[in-house]
Amino acid sequence: MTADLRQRIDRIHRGLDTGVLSLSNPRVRLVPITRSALANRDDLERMTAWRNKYMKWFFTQFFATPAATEQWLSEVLDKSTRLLYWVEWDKRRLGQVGWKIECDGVAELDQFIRGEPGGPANLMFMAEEALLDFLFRTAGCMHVIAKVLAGNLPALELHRSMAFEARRNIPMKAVSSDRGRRFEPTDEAGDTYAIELVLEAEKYTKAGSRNG
Amino acid sequence: MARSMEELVVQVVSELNPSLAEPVPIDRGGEAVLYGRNGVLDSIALVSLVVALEQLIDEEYGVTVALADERAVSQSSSPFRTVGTLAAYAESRVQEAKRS
Repeated sequence: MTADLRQRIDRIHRGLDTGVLSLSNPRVRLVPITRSALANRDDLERMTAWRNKYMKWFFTQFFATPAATEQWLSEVLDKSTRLLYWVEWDKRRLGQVGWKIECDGVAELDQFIRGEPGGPANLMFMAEEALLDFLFRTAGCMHVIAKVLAGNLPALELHRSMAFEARRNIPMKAVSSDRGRRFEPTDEAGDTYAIELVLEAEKYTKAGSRNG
Repeated sequence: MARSMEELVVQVVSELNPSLAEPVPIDRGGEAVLYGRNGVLDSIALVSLVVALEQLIDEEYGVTVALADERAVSQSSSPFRTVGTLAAYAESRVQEAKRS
């Protein structure tokens, strides 16, 4: 990951660079979630509601509150290796997507949620294409990965439609706490498993993108 | 006599259609597109469809199948792409369950 990209992410988080990803369909935009969201009650409540609605598909499962979301988001926005975006249709926030740099040349898709109905059925497909275009063409990634809890059919099918391939199954054990439970990788028989998917830059380029 | 799997898929899709912004064109039969870049189902509708189809298969054939497991992902192309691909995949899972 280049220093330039880190600096740009910092600037985006602070609202000094819009970082908006526009798509071939002008009604769709990916708008970075910035530090301003930390002071926006509507944004925090929106993210919290979406997180709770789809709790079963997250590796960490607990009942979120706006305060917990604020704390989590603040930690995310402190990292110059991660970006989250609102998925907007006609400027209405209908979902969120994100990515984080895992190591040089490798990014992981993260925090995909279709929070609200409305807009086209393939809204998240368009959003993922825009992210992949950015990661492969601008950020210089060679691989993009995604880890999805088994049973999260929409996410698995979404990624696969972009030419991701399942690389391995990762056994996961459930660890309970006062706040809920989280799934962690284990070498033993797991309670469930995660599917790790991978997409190489060359394969994505060959498959073709609609946003390029 | 039990109905064909495609008939079951069409029934489930027909019941889902009124809730969709853009209905699945079931008059196209097996070629009607469901989920994907050109699909008309969003993620929630896809899950609803799969759950309803699993229930209907249980009622119709007396067989319990899980259509949304790792087997679905390991297919070379998505079984949830069209009415026809879903029917074929579900049928294969039913036959497999009957054999075991």
